[in-house]
Amino acid sequence: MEEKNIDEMEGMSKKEMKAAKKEAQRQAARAEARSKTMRSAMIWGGTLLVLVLGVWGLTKVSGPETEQPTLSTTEVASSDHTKGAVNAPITIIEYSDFQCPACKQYAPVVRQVVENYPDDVRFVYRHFPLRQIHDQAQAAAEAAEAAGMQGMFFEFHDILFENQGEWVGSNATANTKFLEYAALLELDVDQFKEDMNSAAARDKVNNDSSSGTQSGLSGTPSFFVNGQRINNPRGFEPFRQLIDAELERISASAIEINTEDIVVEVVDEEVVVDEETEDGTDTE
Amino acid sequence: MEQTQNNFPKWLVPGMLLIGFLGFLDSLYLTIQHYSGEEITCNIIHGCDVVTNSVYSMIGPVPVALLGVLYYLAIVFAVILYWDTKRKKIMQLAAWATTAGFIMSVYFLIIQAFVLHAFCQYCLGSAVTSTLLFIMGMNAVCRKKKMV
Repeated sequence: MEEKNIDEMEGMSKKEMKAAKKEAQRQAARAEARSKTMRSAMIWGGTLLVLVLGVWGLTKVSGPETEQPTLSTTEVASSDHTKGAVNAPITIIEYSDFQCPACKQYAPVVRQVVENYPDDVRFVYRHFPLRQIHDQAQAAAEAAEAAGMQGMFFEFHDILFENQGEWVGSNATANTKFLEYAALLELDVDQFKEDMNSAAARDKVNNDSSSGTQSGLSGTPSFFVNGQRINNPRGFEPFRQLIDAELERISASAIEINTEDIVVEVVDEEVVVDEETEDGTDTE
Repeated sequence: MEQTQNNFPKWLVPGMLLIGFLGFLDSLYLTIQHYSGEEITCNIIHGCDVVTNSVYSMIGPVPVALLGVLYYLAIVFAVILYWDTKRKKIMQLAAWATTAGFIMSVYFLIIQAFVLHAFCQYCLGSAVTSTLLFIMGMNAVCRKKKMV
């Protein structure tokens, strides 16, 4: 059909017609190729954009909402809840769960230890809620954190353990009881309520818990004495013996402590140097 | 007439892209949590950390979640490549590949149900997306076969 039409055209030689046809075809091919590349570019560009946006959104959502320090079983972090002398030679770190019956039994033992060694023992409480078997353990830990934000962590800790039987059960029971305890401690209950459900409390508990997991813990309570995991002493007396032994060990290695003293002096000098540069003229 | 018969169903490309993308985000989330060592926020079902901390969450040194990311990314990539080039072979390949994802999901579902007795909602999410991909993939492949 088309060829016939072209054949019928007048004023054009066959050669001219052929050339014109070829040119038209070439142009059409080029246009098609161009639109194809455009389409490809749009498809792949769009895909890349969607993927990048997705990844970016996800890292925003899944990233930690509050900064948490990396915890180790050998050092006390600024976020830790501590009891006892700050410069005590012995640090006891307990990983515990408010809903665990054994932890409840150890609470008075720990208190006795801290009271008996006011200068020698520093106690650290870290959360290790066994979420699978204790449905309110996480919530209780977060509530204790909320109390801690008002400076009453260990007071709340004591109440939770003493009344362990009464707040377990349903979410609603636990919630009401926690608020009751907060009121009992004369905390700002509205603030407490807000903090209890905050990302900060949740992240603090999770950070404690994952540090426990990383240390290979599986149960509660677990104690570390100066970074060393110990078998749980059966009561205060064995605990006392353990601490005395550790104190003896420390004084026996007094020579090592002397070398540490030298290091401290060097650090002191560095501080002085820092101050000088601060006081002096700008060097940069 | 023959052309339309040979074509894959119209919903195939957008469907597989959407589901593949969701699966990608899901497993990427699990991977990020795995490497950052954070607890997974588990607000529907309890027991996420049991699953994601279990020995089954790793194949050798590679976390399963990372394999998921690569799998979904490969599916999305293949579908886009098909969309771009219209080469049916690519789509067929992608459709068959969904079988692997489906089998893995069934395996992990069995592990969660009968070995760990715990479920992780994001892992279940991935099971859903890979099953959907499998259904779509098989639908496309089988339809194609009937025509030939």
